Amino acid sequence: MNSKFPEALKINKRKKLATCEFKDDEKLYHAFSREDLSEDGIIEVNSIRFPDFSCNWGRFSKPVHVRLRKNGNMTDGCYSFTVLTSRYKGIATPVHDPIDDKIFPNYSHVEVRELYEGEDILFEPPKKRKKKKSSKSRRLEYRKNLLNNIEIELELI
Amino acid sequence: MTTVEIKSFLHESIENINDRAILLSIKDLMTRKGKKFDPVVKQLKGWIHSLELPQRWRTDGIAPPNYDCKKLAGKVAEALYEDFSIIPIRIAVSIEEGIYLKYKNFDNNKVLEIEVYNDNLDIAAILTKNNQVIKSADIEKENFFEMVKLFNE
Repeated sequence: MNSKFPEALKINKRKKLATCEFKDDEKLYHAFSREDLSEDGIIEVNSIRFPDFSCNWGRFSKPVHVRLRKNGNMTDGCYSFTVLTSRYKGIATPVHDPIDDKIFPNYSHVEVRELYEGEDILFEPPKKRKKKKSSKSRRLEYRKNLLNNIEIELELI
Repeated sequence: MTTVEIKSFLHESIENINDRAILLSIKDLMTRKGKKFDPVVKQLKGWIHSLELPQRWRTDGIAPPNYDCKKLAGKVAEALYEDFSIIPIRIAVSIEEGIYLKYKNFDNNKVLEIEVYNDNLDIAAILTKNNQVIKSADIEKENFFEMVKLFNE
Protein backbone atom coordinates (compact mmCIF):
# COMPACT_ATOMS: atom_id res chain seq x y z
CA MET A 1 0.00 0.00 0.00
CA ASN A 2 1.24 3.48 -0.85
CA SER A 3 2.32 5.46 2.23
CA LYS A 4 0.29 8.38 0.88
CA PHE A 5 -2.89 6.30 0.95
CA PRO A 6 -5.47 8.20 3.08
CA GLU A 7 -5.36 7.21 6.75
CA ALA A 8 -9.12 7.66 6.90
CA LEU A 9 -9.64 4.67 4.62
CA LYS A 10 -7.23 2.32 6.39
CA ILE A 11 -8.86 -0.10 8.78
CA ASN A 12 -6.41 0.57 11.65
CA LYS A 13 -8.06 -2.06 13.85
CA ARG A 14 -11.34 -0.18 13.84
CA LYS A 15 -14.49 -2.27 14.10
CA LYS A 16 -17.47 -2.51 11.83
CA LEU A 17 -20.33 -0.32 13.05
CA ALA A 18 -23.95 -1.32 13.52
CA THR A 19 -26.74 -0.11 11.26
CA CYS A 20 -28.17 2.04 14.06
CA GLU A 21 -25.00 4.17 13.92
CA PHE A 22 -26.04 5.83 10.65
CA LYS A 23 -27.53 9.31 11.09
CA ASP A 24 -30.23 10.45 8.67
CA ASP A 25 -28.35 13.53 7.46
CA GLU A 26 -25.02 11.81 6.88
CA LYS A 27 -23.84 11.54 3.29
CA LEU A 28 -23.05 8.42 1.31
CA TYR A 29 -20.67 8.84 -1.64
CA HIS A 30 -20.85 6.88 -4.87
CA ALA A 31 -18.55 7.00 -7.89
CA PHE A 32 -19.74 7.51 -11.44
CA SER A 33 -17.99 7.32 -14.78
CA ARG A 34 -18.67 8.76 -18.22
CA GLU A 35 -20.50 5.57 -19.14
CA ASP A 36 -23.05 6.26 -16.42
CA LEU A 37 -24.12 9.46 -18.16
CA SER A 38 -26.81 9.80 -20.80
CA GLU A 39 -26.12 11.28 -24.23
CA ASP A 40 -27.08 14.65 -22.65
CA GLY A 41 -24.40 14.24 -20.00
CA ILE A 42 -26.72 13.64 -17.07
CA ILE A 43 -27.27 10.69 -14.75
CA GLU A 44 -30.55 8.92 -15.40
CA VAL A 45 -32.32 6.12 -13.59
CA ASN A 46 -31.00 3.43 -15.95
CA SER A 47 -27.51 3.83 -14.46
CA ILE A 48 -28.60 3.66 -10.81
CA ARG A 49 -28.00 0.19 -9.46
CA PHE A 50 -30.02 -1.42 -6.70
CA PRO A 51 -29.74 -3.36 -4.45
CA ASP A 52 -26.21 -3.94 -3.08
CA PHE A 53 -25.20 -0.43 -4.00
CA SER A 54 -21.61 0.30 -2.92
CA CYS A 55 -20.86 3.65 -1.28
CA ASN A 56 -18.42 5.37 1.05
CA TRP A 57 -19.69 6.66 4.36
CA GLY A 58 -19.18 10.43 4.55
CA ARG A 59 -18.30 10.22 8.26
CA PHE A 60 -15.07 8.44 7.38
CA SER A 61 -14.18 9.63 3.89
CA LYS A 62 -14.12 12.45 1.38
CA PRO A 63 -15.77 12.42 -2.07
CA VAL A 64 -12.40 12.06 -3.83
CA HIS A 65 -11.77 8.76 -2.01
CA VAL A 66 -14.31 6.97 -4.23
CA ARG A 67 -11.54 6.87 -6.86
CA LEU A 68 -9.38 4.70 -4.59
CA ARG A 69 -11.09 1.38 -5.11
CA LYS A 70 -10.72 -1.78 -7.16
CA ASN A 71 -11.72 -0.97 -10.77
CA GLY A 72 -11.79 2.71 -9.78
CA ASN A 73 -10.51 5.40 -12.05
CA MET A 74 -8.81 8.70 -11.24
CA THR A 75 -11.21 10.41 -13.65
CA ASP A 76 -14.35 9.19 -11.84
CA GLY A 77 -16.88 11.65 -10.54
CA CYS A 78 -18.74 11.35 -7.23
CA TYR A 79 -22.30 11.99 -6.17
CA SER A 80 -23.84 11.82 -2.74
CA PHE A 81 -27.19 11.13 -1.14
CA THR A 82 -28.21 11.03 2.50
CA VAL A 83 -28.81 8.07 4.74
CA LEU A 84 -32.44 9.21 4.91
CA THR A 85 -32.72 8.90 1.11
CA SER A 86 -31.15 5.45 1.23
CA ARG A 87 -33.95 4.38 3.59
CA TYR A 88 -36.76 5.56 1.29
CA LYS A 89 -40.02 3.83 2.22
CA GLY A 90 -38.04 1.26 4.23
CA ILE A 91 -37.04 -0.45 0.99
CA ALA A 92 -33.32 -0.52 1.85
CA THR A 93 -30.82 0.43 4.50
CA PRO A 94 -27.08 1.18 4.58
CA VAL A 95 -24.84 -1.48 6.09
CA HIS A 96 -21.27 -0.74 7.16
CA ASP A 97 -19.03 -3.16 5.27
CA PRO A 98 -15.33 -2.25 5.73
CA ILE A 99 -13.03 -3.70 3.07
CA ASP A 100 -9.82 -5.11 4.52
CA ASP A 101 -7.77 -5.15 1.33
CA LYS A 102 -4.00 -4.81 1.01
CA ILE A 103 -4.13 -2.41 -1.93
CA PHE A 104 -7.42 -0.63 -1.41
CA PRO A 105 -8.55 -0.90 2.20
CA ASN A 106 -11.75 1.03 2.82
CA TYR A 107 -13.08 1.46 6.33
CA SER A 108 -15.82 3.77 5.03
CA HIS A 109 -17.31 1.19 2.64
CA VAL A 110 -21.07 0.80 2.88
CA GLU A 111 -23.51 -1.36 1.00
CA VAL A 112 -27.08 -0.19 0.61
CA ARG A 113 -28.97 -3.46 0.91
CA GLU A 114 -32.57 -4.29 0.15
CA LEU A 115 -35.00 -4.93 2.98
CA TYR A 116 -37.88 -7.30 2.56
CA GLU A 117 -41.44 -6.81 3.77
CA GLY A 118 -41.59 -6.55 7.54
CA GLU A 119 -37.88 -5.89 8.08
CA ASP A 120 -36.94 -2.81 10.11
CA ILE A 121 -34.55 -0.16 8.73
CA LEU A 122 -32.19 -0.98 11.59
CA PHE A 123 -32.08 -4.63 10.56
CA GLU A 124 -28.84 -5.63 8.87
CA PRO A 125 -29.47 -7.73 5.77
CA PRO A 126 -26.57 -10.19 5.39
CA LYS A 127 -24.10 -9.80 2.55
CA LYS A 128 -25.12 -11.49 -0.71
CA ARG A 129 -28.20 -13.07 0.79
CA LYS A 130 -30.37 -14.99 -1.59
CA LYS A 131 -32.60 -12.54 -3.45
CA LYS A 132 -36.32 -12.87 -2.98
CA LYS A 133 -38.59 -12.22 -5.89
CA SER A 134 -39.58 -8.62 -5.29
CA SER A 135 -41.53 -6.05 -7.23
CA LYS A 136 -39.46 -4.45 -9.99
CA SER A 137 -41.52 -1.26 -9.86
CA ARG A 138 -40.77 -0.93 -6.14
CA ARG A 139 -37.09 -1.05 -6.97
CA LEU A 140 -37.50 1.31 -9.91
CA GLU A 141 -39.29 3.84 -7.68
CA TYR A 142 -36.50 3.52 -5.10
CA ARG A 143 -33.85 4.18 -7.76
CA LYS A 144 -35.81 7.12 -9.15
CA ASN A 145 -36.12 8.69 -5.69
CA LEU A 146 -32.41 8.22 -5.12
CA LEU A 147 -31.66 9.89 -8.44
CA ASN A 148 -33.91 12.83 -7.53
CA ASN A 149 -31.96 13.37 -4.34
CA ILE A 150 -28.36 13.08 -5.44
CA GLU A 151 -25.88 15.90 -5.28
CA ILE A 152 -22.79 16.03 -7.49
CA GLU A 153 -19.78 16.29 -5.19
CA LEU A 154 -17.04 15.80 -7.74
CA GLU A 155 -17.24 16.25 -11.50
CA LEU A 156 -15.69 13.80 -13.94
CA ILE A 157 -12.22 14.70 -15.13
CA MET B 1 -51.36 9.49 -57.69
CA THR B 2 -49.61 10.23 -54.35
CA THR B 3 -49.47 7.78 -51.45
CA VAL B 4 -51.95 9.91 -49.51
CA GLU B 5 -54.35 9.89 -52.46
CA ILE B 6 -54.02 6.12 -52.84
CA LYS B 7 -54.72 5.60 -49.13
CA SER B 8 -57.69 7.91 -49.27
CA PHE B 9 -59.00 6.12 -52.35
CA LEU B 10 -58.61 2.72 -50.69
CA HIS B 11 -60.39 3.88 -47.55
CA GLU B 12 -63.28 5.32 -49.54
CA SER B 13 -63.49 2.14 -51.63
CA ILE B 14 -63.54 -0.27 -48.72
CA GLU B 15 -66.13 1.74 -46.86
CA ASN B 16 -68.48 0.93 -49.75
CA ILE B 17 -68.06 -2.82 -49.27
CA ASN B 18 -71.21 -4.21 -47.70
CA ASP B 19 -69.87 -7.64 -46.74
CA ARG B 20 -68.57 -7.13 -43.19
CA ALA B 21 -66.30 -10.21 -43.24
CA ILE B 22 -64.54 -9.08 -46.40
CA LEU B 23 -64.30 -5.55 -45.07
CA LEU B 24 -62.60 -6.75 -41.87
CA SER B 25 -60.18 -8.97 -43.78
CA ILE B 26 -59.14 -6.09 -46.03
CA LYS B 27 -58.69 -3.76 -43.04
CA ASP B 28 -56.66 -6.42 -41.25
CA LEU B 29 -54.42 -6.88 -44.27
CA MET B 30 -53.93 -3.14 -44.60
CA THR B 31 -53.04 -2.79 -40.93
CA ARG B 32 -50.63 -5.72 -41.00
CA LYS B 33 -48.91 -4.39 -44.04
CA GLY B 34 -48.70 -0.95 -42.45
CA LYS B 35 -47.03 -2.37 -39.35
CA LYS B 36 -44.57 -4.50 -41.23
CA PHE B 37 -43.20 -1.64 -43.23
CA ASP B 38 -43.64 1.16 -40.75
CA PRO B 39 -40.27 2.96 -40.76
CA VAL B 40 -40.76 4.27 -37.22
CA VAL B 41 -41.26 0.78 -35.80
CA LYS B 42 -38.36 -0.52 -37.83
CA GLN B 43 -36.16 2.28 -36.52
CA LEU B 44 -37.20 1.72 -32.89
CA LYS B 45 -36.53 -2.01 -33.08
CA GLY B 46 -33.23 -1.46 -34.85
CA TRP B 47 -32.21 1.04 -32.19
CA ILE B 48 -33.01 -1.41 -29.38
CA HIS B 49 -31.22 -4.32 -31.01
CA SER B 50 -28.11 -2.23 -31.63
CA LEU B 51 -27.66 -1.31 -27.96
CA GLU B 52 -24.57 -2.59 -26.21
CA LEU B 53 -23.55 -2.68 -22.58
CA PRO B 54 -20.91 -0.08 -21.61
CA GLN B 55 -17.52 -1.72 -21.11
CA ARG B 56 -17.27 -0.43 -17.55
CA TRP B 57 -20.54 -2.10 -16.56
CA ARG B 58 -19.35 -5.33 -18.13
CA THR B 59 -16.23 -5.17 -15.96
CA ASP B 60 -18.48 -4.75 -12.92
CA GLY B 61 -20.25 -8.03 -13.80
CA ILE B 62 -23.44 -6.57 -15.25
CA ALA B 63 -25.07 -8.79 -17.87
CA PRO B 64 -26.11 -7.23 -21.19
CA PRO B 65 -29.77 -7.28 -22.23
CA ASN B 66 -30.43 -10.64 -23.87
CA TYR B 67 -32.17 -11.28 -27.18
CA ASP B 68 -35.60 -11.99 -25.64
CA CYS B 69 -35.41 -8.85 -23.54
CA LYS B 70 -34.56 -6.74 -26.59
CA LYS B 71 -37.33 -8.39 -28.56
CA LEU B 72 -39.88 -7.65 -25.83
CA ALA B 73 -38.64 -4.06 -25.46
CA GLY B 74 -39.13 -3.68 -29.23
CA LYS B 75 -42.64 -5.05 -28.90
CA VAL B 76 -43.38 -2.58 -26.09
CA ALA B 77 -42.06 0.37 -28.13
CA GLU B 78 -44.10 -0.78 -31.10
CA ALA B 79 -47.29 -1.16 -29.06
CA LEU B 80 -46.91 2.26 -27.46
CA TYR B 81 -46.38 3.80 -30.88
CA GLU B 82 -49.18 1.92 -32.59
CA ASP B 83 -51.73 2.18 -29.79
CA PHE B 84 -50.95 5.55 -28.23
CA SER B 85 -48.83 7.37 -30.85
CA ILE B 86 -45.92 7.98 -28.49
CA ILE B 87 -42.27 7.46 -29.27
CA PRO B 88 -39.36 7.35 -26.80
CA ILE B 89 -36.98 10.28 -26.43
CA ARG B 90 -34.31 7.93 -25.13
CA ILE B 91 -33.56 4.23 -25.35
CA ALA B 92 -30.63 2.79 -23.43
CA VAL B 93 -29.30 -0.24 -21.63
CA SER B 94 -30.22 -0.48 -17.95
CA ILE B 95 -27.64 -1.33 -15.31
CA GLU B 96 -30.39 -3.51 -13.84
CA GLU B 97 -29.83 -5.82 -16.82
CA GLY B 98 -32.42 -4.83 -19.36
CA ILE B 99 -33.61 -2.12 -21.68
CA TYR B 100 -34.69 1.38 -20.62
CA LEU B 101 -37.25 3.45 -22.53
CA LYS B 102 -38.01 7.08 -21.72
CA TYR B 103 -41.04 9.03 -22.93
CA LYS B 104 -41.80 12.68 -22.34
CA ASN B 105 -45.09 14.49 -22.75
CA PHE B 106 -44.00 18.01 -23.66
CA ASP B 107 -47.52 19.39 -23.09
CA ASN B 108 -47.78 18.49 -19.41
CA ASN B 109 -44.11 17.78 -18.56
CA LYS B 110 -44.79 14.21 -17.47
CA VAL B 111 -42.11 11.57 -17.93
CA LEU B 112 -42.81 7.88 -18.37
CA GLU B 113 -39.86 5.55 -17.86
CA ILE B 114 -40.06 1.87 -18.60
CA GLU B 115 -37.60 -0.94 -18.00
CA VAL B 116 -37.77 -4.40 -19.53
CA TYR B 117 -35.57 -6.87 -17.67
CA ASN B 118 -33.69 -10.02 -18.58
CA ASP B 119 -35.00 -11.44 -15.32
CA ASN B 120 -38.24 -13.23 -16.08
CA LEU B 121 -38.84 -10.63 -18.83
CA ASP B 122 -40.50 -8.46 -16.19
CA ILE B 123 -41.56 -4.93 -17.06
CA ALA B 124 -41.73 -1.98 -14.65
CA ALA B 125 -42.85 1.57 -15.32
CA ILE B 126 -42.73 4.84 -13.43
CA LEU B 127 -44.54 8.08 -14.16
CA THR B 128 -43.20 11.36 -12.79
CA LYS B 129 -43.84 15.05 -13.13
CA ASN B 130 -41.11 17.52 -12.14
CA ASN B 131 -39.34 14.52 -10.58
CA GLN B 132 -42.31 13.74 -8.28
CA VAL B 133 -43.51 10.16 -8.55
CA ILE B 134 -47.13 9.97 -9.73
CA LYS B 135 -47.31 6.21 -10.13
CA SER B 136 -45.07 3.20 -10.43
CA ALA B 137 -46.31 -0.20 -11.50
CA ASP B 138 -45.29 -3.68 -12.56
CA ILE B 139 -46.72 -4.09 -16.02
CA GLU B 140 -48.63 -7.29 -16.60
CA LYS B 141 -49.40 -8.65 -20.05
CA GLU B 142 -47.85 -5.58 -21.64
CA ASN B 143 -50.90 -3.54 -20.62
CA PHE B 144 -49.87 0.10 -20.50
CA PHE B 145 -53.34 1.58 -20.77
CA GLU B 146 -53.52 2.99 -17.22
CA MET B 147 -50.00 4.42 -17.29
CA VAL B 148 -50.42 6.08 -20.67
CA LYS B 149 -53.82 7.45 -19.66
CA LEU B 150 -52.16 9.19 -16.69
CA PHE B 151 -49.22 10.21 -18.89
CA ASN B 152 -51.59 12.01 -21.25
CA GLU B 153 -53.88 13.61 -18.64
